[in-house]
Amino acid sequence: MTNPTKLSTHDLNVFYDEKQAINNISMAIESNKVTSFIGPSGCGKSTFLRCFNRMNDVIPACRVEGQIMMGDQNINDPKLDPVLLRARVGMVFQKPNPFPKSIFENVAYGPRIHGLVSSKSETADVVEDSLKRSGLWNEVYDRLHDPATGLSGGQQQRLCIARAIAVSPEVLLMDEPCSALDPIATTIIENLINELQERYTIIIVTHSMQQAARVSQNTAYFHLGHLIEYGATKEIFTNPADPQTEAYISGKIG
Amino acid sequence: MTTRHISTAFDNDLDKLDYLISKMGNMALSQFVAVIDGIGQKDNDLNSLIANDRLIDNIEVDIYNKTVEIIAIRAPQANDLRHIIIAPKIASFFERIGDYSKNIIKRRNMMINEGSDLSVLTKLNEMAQMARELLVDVLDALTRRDADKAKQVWHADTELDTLHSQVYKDIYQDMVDNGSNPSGINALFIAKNIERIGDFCTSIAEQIYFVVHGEMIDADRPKSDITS
Repeated sequence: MTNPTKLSTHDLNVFYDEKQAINNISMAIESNKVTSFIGPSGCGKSTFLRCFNRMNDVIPACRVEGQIMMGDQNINDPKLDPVLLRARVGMVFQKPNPFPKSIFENVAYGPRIHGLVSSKSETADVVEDSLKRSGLWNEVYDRLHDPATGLSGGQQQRLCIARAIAVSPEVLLMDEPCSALDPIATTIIENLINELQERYTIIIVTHSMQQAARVSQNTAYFHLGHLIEYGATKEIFTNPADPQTEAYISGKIG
Repeated sequence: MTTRHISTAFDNDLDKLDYLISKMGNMALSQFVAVIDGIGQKDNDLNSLIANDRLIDNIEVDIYNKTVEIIAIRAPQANDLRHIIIAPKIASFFERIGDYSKNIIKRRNMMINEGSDLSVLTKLNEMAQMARELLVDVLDALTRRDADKAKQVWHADTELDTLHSQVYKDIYQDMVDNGSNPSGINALFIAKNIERIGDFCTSIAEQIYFVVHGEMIDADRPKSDITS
């Protein structure tokens, strides 16, 4: 079953100075599904992911050409405010990066600066709701004002997810969200991804093929800046159409 | 496309699995050929072959264990996964071929005990040779992962089915004309065993096609066996 398109790129090219990192990629991301990007290191999957919330803007040498549509808006339009965009397209990174503040403040920060809350009780509600949706509430409700850095790695990552969803984004980008976590914490995050897709469109970059197979409905395989194959995860992992995809997922290329 | 894995241990596992499958297939073939070669000669005691069946069965266990080990340790994907998942299935077909070969010996023993001169079994010679060819061809297709050849075997089995129907009618008519006798009944069972061995060859052919193409053979095969 195909969901409506949430994001789409059209002839997207990305350059780092003269070096081309992404070659003419056009693809559509389905809403309320998990799409995973896989491929060897340096294939461009993270660069491509970062196009969706304009994170490449902060790299001076990086140039993004082409269209990225979210609804009828081209989010690659230089006139668009990337800060507002990032409230709609949240991001979770490889290494959990909580602010050096309390658990509560980590989650409350986004809604406050975007003016989404107007009272203390409203802020508390958003914090509680976000922590519940990220599956962290039961572990932290009695120590919300403790430093976030005192949490375990897996808890910190779920806090970062709570922080991202506190501003009610439409899309969540995850760049190897479990690569710094142990297997138990990884399973908890994967469960969470499963639950979150009801409300959000999720794109995840992962080096774990098993993780891509477990959490996503669609998978895109990138190699040397090209989109080699994109389709249903079930197909990609059982009967990929392209021999390059087959070789990669079977561990035949380095 | 690269055919070897970065992990040589994974390749070694797959080689070991292929070796076991090949060994089991060739043992099943040798067993069947020994049985059909000696079947019509009354002074040829085939009972010594019965012990071989246990050896064939033992390899099936090895294949099951190796399959479970590879899936648990290597988490195979795509073509690798199909390659591995068909191994126990094909092993069970070889195991059945071994069983049917053994059944043929037992039926033949019953005929000898009943005083039959085994002459009725000459009617089965052509069927037996046809089944042997199917088995040789499907083993070859399996070793070379040759989906085209597998499909040929799959189609060719209809000839064996047709021949079986003729042999069945022939022996049956003989029993109607000359009075039914235990030899005729046992000969019918042996014919059916040979026909089933052909069926297993087509089942193996289907698995080979699946490994290569990731889908089952999409074609109709005329049903020509009227006895089942």
